[in-house]
Amino acid sequence: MTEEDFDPTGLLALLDGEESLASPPAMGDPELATQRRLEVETLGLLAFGLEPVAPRPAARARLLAEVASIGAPAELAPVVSLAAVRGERTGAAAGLARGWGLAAAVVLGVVGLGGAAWSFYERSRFAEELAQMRREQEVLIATLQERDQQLAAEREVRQGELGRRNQALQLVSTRGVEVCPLRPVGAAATLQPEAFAVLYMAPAQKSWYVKASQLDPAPAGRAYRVWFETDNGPVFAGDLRPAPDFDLQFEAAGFRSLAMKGVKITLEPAGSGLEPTGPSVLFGADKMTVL
Amino acid sequence: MVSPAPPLASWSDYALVQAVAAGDGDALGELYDRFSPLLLALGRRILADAEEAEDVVQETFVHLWRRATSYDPQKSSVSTFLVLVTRSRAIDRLRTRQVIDRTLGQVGLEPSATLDTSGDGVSRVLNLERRERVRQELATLPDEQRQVLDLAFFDGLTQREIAERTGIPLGTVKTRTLLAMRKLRTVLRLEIRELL
Repeated sequence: MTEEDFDPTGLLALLDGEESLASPPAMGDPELATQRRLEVETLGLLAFGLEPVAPRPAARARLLAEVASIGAPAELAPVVSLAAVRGERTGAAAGLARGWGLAAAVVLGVVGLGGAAWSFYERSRFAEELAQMRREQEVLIATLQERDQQLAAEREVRQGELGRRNQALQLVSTRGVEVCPLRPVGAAATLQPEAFAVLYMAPAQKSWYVKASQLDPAPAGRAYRVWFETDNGPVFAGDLRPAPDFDLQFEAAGFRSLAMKGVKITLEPAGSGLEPTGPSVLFGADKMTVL
Repeated sequence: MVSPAPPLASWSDYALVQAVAAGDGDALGELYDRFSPLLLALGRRILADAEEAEDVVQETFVHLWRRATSYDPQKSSVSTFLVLVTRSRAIDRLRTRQVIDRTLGQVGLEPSATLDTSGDGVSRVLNLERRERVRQELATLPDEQRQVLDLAFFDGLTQREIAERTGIPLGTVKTRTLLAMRKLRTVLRLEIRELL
């Protein structure tokens, strides 16, 4: 360290606080520590250049009274040997270690039991949830299967309906098909003036088809029936399908050929005999051969 | 037959501090008798107030009483420790009350304040000799060096504040302070050695 390294400004700043007085920095350098010590003592000597001032006797008494009330420095900061401190700490540390070890074991045991209980509880809860899910799944599968059967049946019905409609469409659009319109008659002419029906006769297809429209639904226990008028009286052709279709389709099998003068639809009791007893609702007069 | 203990006045400063650390109030009284005139002078020089100076000295010795067990003779001598604690506390007070006029003459120091030369302790004699020696050496300092040293040590000003107050360039302030401290450290080497 050279004299140029001397920094009284930094030293003064360093010594502004009491703590720095108690522990001026040595920075681990003995030579530097010595230089700092010299600087500190030089500063301390500056006060000696002042003219001393005698204190008042009362001031001395006040000081001693104050420190007496504070208590001895040893009471404020008990002086104990490092060995004693270490011994105490060693003994205390051993006891503390044993205590901590036992406490740690207890804590670990409690934690372990808690963990096992928690794991068992979680597994049980999970199993119960899984069983519940399986039950719900079975119910859902049964529901879906039932629904699937319903849909299959409905699909079959609709497929049959679609096939029948396609057949009817094919029939009515066949070349050479004969058509006989039916109009309201009797009371129906007043009550259902807009109702009408059409008979499609397709000899080449050996089938016929009746389609009624704007008919009121048949009352409960009654049905609309189709009849062919012949020289020998009416011949039952069949029942119209209930609303909304109001149609009847016939295919050749088992039906004998006859000469028809007209066709009529009557309202009959459901399941009645082969003779018309109810009122005529629609009637069409046309001569054609029924297959 | 047990020989009587030597009077406290013959004890070294450090021995007294050790006794203080053990709770000896008489040892603290001896240290007070030994250094309070010096510390009161320092307090008055810094604070320019007799009562405040007495309070600062009181605080310094109470501080010593509380911290005697942690005093380290390797860090500083007892006198320097007390001087620098007193200076630090006095400057704290000075900064707190923002005193501008710090001259002794403007606060009317008590003319009756005189050096307490009672007693015949070796330390007191040494202190008297030390005071005379320091005063002589301080008197040999050039005025401009003594000025910056006074402003720094007794007024607690930083180098920059000294430059602002005196109108002297900062570099010049530092140079003058450096030269003053270097010279004092050299010429007071015997006194410093006594403190180590």
